[in-house]
Amino acid sequence: MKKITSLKLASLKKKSIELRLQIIEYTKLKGSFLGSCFSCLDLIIYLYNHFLKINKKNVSKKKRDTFILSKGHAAPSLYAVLQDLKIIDRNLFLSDKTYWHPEKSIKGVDFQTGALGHGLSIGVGIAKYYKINQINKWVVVMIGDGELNEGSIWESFLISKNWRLGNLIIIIDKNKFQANDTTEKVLSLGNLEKKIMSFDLNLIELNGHNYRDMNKKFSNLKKNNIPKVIIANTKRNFGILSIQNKKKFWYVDKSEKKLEQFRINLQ
Amino acid sequence: MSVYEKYLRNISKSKNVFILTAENKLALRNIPNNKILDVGICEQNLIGIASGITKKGGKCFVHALSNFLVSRAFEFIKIGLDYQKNSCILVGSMGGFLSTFNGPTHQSIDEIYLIGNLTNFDVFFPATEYEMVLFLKKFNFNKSVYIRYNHINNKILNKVINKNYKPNSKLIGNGKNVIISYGVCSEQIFKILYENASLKNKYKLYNFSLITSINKTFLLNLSKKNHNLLVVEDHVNKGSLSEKIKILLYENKIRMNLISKNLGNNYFQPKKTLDELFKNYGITKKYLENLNFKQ
Repeated sequence: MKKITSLKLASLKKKSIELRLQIIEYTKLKGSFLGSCFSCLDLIIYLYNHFLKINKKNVSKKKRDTFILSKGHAAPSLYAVLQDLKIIDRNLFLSDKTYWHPEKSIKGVDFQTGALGHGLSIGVGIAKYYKINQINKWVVVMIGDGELNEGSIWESFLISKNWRLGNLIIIIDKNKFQANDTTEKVLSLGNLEKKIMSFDLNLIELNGHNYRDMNKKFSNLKKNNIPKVIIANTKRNFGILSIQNKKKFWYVDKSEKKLEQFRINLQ
Repeated sequence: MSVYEKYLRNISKSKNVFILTAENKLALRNIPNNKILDVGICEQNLIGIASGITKKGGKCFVHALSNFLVSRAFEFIKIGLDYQKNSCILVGSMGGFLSTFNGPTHQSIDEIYLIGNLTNFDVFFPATEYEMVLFLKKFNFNKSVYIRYNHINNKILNKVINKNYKPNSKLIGNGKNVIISYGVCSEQIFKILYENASLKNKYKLYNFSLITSINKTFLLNLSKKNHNLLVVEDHVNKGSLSEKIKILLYENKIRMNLISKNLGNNYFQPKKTLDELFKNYGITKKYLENLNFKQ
């Protein structure tokens, strides 16, 4: 794992601001699930810029590191990163082809997601395929904490442990909200850490908006025989202080008048 | 060891072939455990995992009880396999009448309606296990296929199928009245006709196992020399082969007298054996002798 230099850190932070502004631009054109986009954006920036080996050259290859955004409603964040890496064109990012959930025809999108509870099982399949064929690559699946309502996710936890898929990293974007309310109110997860631990999975916690912390935790990951579950503590709408960590503005319509007033502040 | 198991054992020597199951081994009793990826009773994950493997280039044979494979995991099939064009082979056990004594909770009688309406899927209901293997040997993974696994091993029928096998071909009879069927219904009707010379002269039986390939041309050719058509199936009416045929006849103004024998909108009455069940369904020697299309 590469060390993260101060220069790199500064570059990632700069991207955090720039890509947020681009997602706001996207939202002005098409609307978006902004709250979810901004809670996981920093994680996706980190993954593509420092951890996963996915780039313009190898993106069309099958046997490479794989990222699945199972919480597909954060697609604009993925698209923003893909266009930043020049894997897709900026015009495409802002076009009608990139709608609210990842579309498979877009380069860099391995799987069409959005129907919650699908992505992890797909990631389990890929990790198993890589393991059997001794392909030394990571499979990273990002799910939302609200997505943990889906029973299929817990089935995947069981199977990934049973199959000893050490090449699988499951990131839970724990912004503590789901569509209309807090996860606590809608369907309480109780002590999530304890629940995950009871599956005998390798549990790691980190701050999903702090690149230094992300790098520290990701640097220690090894492809042993235990799947990793990363609980990334994040905030809904992180970076827009007026709406950050609030129930409102999960979805922001293009007609939203406040869009013009949104300013990025990553404090 | 069954012919399908022999086939699977042989092809699974390749590291690119994956045999998956949701703890159902009806078609896999003689396959070594180390060749099977058993996900447990998790049909949604079964399909999701197969989608992931297929996406990276693996060839998947996915097994579960038909009802749970198709109905419970349907959204995963629709999005993970069909929409993403990840082609794999779904093998459902105990579909249709093969469920015999299980009762409605285990009856899978609507797969053509569900899977047959997907864009990247074929639906194949073989009359015998041997037919299934012949089909699989020619399968090229251009599309996915759902197969109603049929363990029946009718040696006489297998000999008929053996001759230059093509799905949807004629099995028996030279009569002017046509019977179209598939799966175990084909096999049961074959047995009746095989034992009755007079019925062989009254009917000809087509085994329309690749159901999704029914088309105007087939029906046009059929209608040139035959005017009467009986379609027998263990499927609800909605989305059934007979419904598809009705629509094709109507849309293309093809004139044939059609009698549909399907489950309508009902689960079927379980019986201990397939023979009893089929008899109870009403397709008997007597029924076929007395059938009058003009009524």
